[in-house]
Amino acid sequence: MATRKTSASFWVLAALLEGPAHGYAIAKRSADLSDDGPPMGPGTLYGTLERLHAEGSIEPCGDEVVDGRNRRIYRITEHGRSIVIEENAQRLASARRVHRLIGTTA
Amino acid sequence: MTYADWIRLASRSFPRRWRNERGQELFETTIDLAPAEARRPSVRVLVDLMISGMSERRRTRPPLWRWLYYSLGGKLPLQWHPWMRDDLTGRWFWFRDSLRRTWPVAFLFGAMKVAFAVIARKTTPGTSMAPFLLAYFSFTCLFSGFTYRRNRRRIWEQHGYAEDGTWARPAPRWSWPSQPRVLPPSFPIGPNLRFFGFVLVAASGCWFYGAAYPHESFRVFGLTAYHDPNAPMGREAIAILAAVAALSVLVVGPLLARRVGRRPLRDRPPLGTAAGRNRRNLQLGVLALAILVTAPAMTGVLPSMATAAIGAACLIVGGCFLVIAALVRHAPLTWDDLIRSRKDPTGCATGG
Repeated sequence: MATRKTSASFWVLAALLEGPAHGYAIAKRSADLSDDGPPMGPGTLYGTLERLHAEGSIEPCGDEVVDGRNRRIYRITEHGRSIVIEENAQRLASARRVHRLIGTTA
Repeated sequence: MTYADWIRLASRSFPRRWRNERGQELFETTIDLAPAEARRPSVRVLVDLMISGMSERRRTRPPLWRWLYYSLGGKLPLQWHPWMRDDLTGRWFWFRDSLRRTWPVAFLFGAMKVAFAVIARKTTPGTSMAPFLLAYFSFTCLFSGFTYRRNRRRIWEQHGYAEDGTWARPAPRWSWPSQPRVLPPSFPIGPNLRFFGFVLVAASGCWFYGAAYPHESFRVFGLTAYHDPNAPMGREAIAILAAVAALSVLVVGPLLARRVGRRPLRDRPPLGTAAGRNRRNLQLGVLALAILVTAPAMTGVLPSMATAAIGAACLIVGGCFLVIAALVRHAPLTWDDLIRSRKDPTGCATGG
């Protein structure tokens, strides 16, 4: 069984499923996907990007100038795609188990 | 401080090489993610930046055992060369270099104290080596002002870089000179003269101290002292003996240097070679032996006269080593030349 990913890693990989993006866009997408309160902190975001890059789950695919600022664009690799799919399946299984408990104890 | 100043301050927790590459992007993204009317970043954002920076530092630094090996003069694998580059080009390299020179001594003294306590079956609750270690660390910090550049150059060369940090690849074998090289006879322990000299001079200080203050030296280490209550040699006599020994170094040292000077010293072998590793192991062994042999001086085991005589002998020999190392010219040959000449005595190198 693969190592469980942190919440930040999962949402960053999920955000990149929509397509390559730079750091600011990843933060916005992950905030929309997770539907949590505050968005991911910039330190957590870039630390997660570095860690996922070291693991081979994402890779940089060039730089782009956005609003006069140089941004590095990332895309998800096949390895990262398989990780987020597996992680999502594990989370769904956990959610179903909890849902059954709620149904039996209600 | 403005919002940007706070962000820049918190971003300093990231490694310097990371800041050089990605720091501007991190800064701009943090500014973009900030609330529109925020005048100062929240504690959550600042803590998030600092924790991520420290995590990145921890992730990209070598493991502890690699760092210990590196601090003792070992070589780091290629994957940690970026960390090493930050270490060598950082502003506080001289301070870190002093720390690296202090911890082996602290470890040896701690091990010695534990060993003595186990052997003597005594505990020493009131004694502390902290003043000595603090003095030693201060001395190395003071001395590192003269040596940290050489140490940095040595580490660059050991890992295959030039002094400015650029990759220095060795010349191909086909470019070696074809004329035969004749090696002059060299002084065999030339590269170790400075090191042995400093060790012996430091040991002589311990011996003189033990001779002049046998009671206080007993209190420093908390061991049961066997001392001569009727010490035949007064402190004034010990001071005169030390001064005479120091003055004799100034006379004998240059004479020996003049004699040795006709035989050039070898250049220091790089640590990546077998000769370099042997030199380092020899130096570490001599340092450990000097500490173990000098320890009895601090316990007042020997009479004051014998202790002072041993101190004078150490001062003379060590001082002469330092004078020779300072005055004798170094050979124009490098260890690469010596190794190549040993492998190809005729000097006619063939390809492959």
